[in-house]
Amino acid sequence: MISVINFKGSVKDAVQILAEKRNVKIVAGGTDLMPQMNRGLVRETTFFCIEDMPELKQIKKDDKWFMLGAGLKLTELCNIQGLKNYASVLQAAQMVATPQIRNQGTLGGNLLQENRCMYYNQSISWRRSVKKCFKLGGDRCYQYKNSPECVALFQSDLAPVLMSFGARAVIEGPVGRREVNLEKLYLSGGKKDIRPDEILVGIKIPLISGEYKSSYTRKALRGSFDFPVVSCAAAAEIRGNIIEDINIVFGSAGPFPKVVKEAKDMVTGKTTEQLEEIMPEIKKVSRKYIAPFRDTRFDSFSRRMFADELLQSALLSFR
Amino acid sequence: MTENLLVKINVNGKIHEDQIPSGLKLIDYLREYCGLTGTKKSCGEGECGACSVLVDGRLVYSCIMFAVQADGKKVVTIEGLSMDGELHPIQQAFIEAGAIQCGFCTPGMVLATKALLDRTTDPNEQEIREALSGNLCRCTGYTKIIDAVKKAADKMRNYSTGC
Repeated sequence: MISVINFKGSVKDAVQILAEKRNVKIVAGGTDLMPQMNRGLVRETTFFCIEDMPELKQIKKDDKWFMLGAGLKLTELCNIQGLKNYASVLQAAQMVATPQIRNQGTLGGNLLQENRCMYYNQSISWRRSVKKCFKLGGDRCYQYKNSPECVALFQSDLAPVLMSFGARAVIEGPVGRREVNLEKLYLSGGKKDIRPDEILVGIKIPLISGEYKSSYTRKALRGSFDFPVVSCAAAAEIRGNIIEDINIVFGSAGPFPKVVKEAKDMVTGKTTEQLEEIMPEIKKVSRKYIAPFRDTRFDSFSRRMFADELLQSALLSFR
Repeated sequence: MTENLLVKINVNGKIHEDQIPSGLKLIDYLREYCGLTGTKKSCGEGECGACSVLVDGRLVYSCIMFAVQADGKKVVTIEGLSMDGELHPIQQAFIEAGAIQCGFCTPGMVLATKALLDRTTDPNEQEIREALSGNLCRCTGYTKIIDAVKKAADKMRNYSTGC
């Protein structure tokens, strides 16, 4: 039987409680966790609900950072005035699932959502008919045969966008608070660098100055309510028409978002008009970041073609 | 052992105080403890929208929410819309537009419409489609439902201006 602790106190008290308990799962909006629970994919039977913790809903700003509480609902995120300069964050938040999911789901939950796979996200009866995969504690991967680890896709919309701005995750545990670059939060095999007794308190986005442009594009099977097959986030500092800095990140590209490292050198110093000229080269480099296996619905060839298209549309929106 | 918790939830304007298993979902609380079976239980995964209710004015899927998460909050179900035996203008609009066939998705659709019209009194078709994107209908089709929302918006505007 399942039990729920609906905690409304401070983060400090919450992590002390979590440190003393075993087999507890943190739940905020529940939109990712509860469907998994209903499918028998969650082993824990105690849920620690942090949805109503006031500290997780704070929005702060100093001279370097914009801090967003991890407990902010995605709908609330869409209405934050200070985020107007971070256009792609708003675009991504508005694209997540449905109005109901955005009203329930939180920023932190979106960033820490479980990786998904066409073999794992199935009913108990279906899973009972096959041997356990890595994600269920087994010894195989059905999605990508011969893979030594789980390669379920990480399909968050917000993670690639926040990574493109160089955001950091603020995490608190029983021994104190730490910060980790969002890129480092995602480990191989679908794991995340956060312990069961730690809470993601918020996300710090660097304050941007000068002329900054950003864009988030994604491809999904359905026009509404769907996980992205592939997505592309790009954020660039542009002075006049010269691109001074750029970050390109692909989402749903593999077990974690992929930063196109070569893009900085290839694009920096170019004018926005030159983007079309160098597009074939960037596409060629970017393609290798799309993991070579099919997701739930499309084969790897199609996913790479989609990535080309998304990249082009994200970059050309800067002109 | 499942722990029982005392919750105090305002459901359709009436305060309900109940000792409930802490793992109980909001939809089960509404249907089994409050006897409000208008909220439909369907996919159980937050996909179909049949279980949609308003919690503090926000449209949510009650099948993927614990009842304790609604403790101290205001919940509105489909039963909370009609007043003194008279249908709410949105419900009336759904009937007039022929937007109900089997009716299973209708409570969720009506509440999604209510959430939309509470935000904006004159939504365009794109806004209507977006507002209903979390609610699936498998038999009526969406054309008449969209017509119903437009009709409901007209009724609500006239209702509030007294025309």
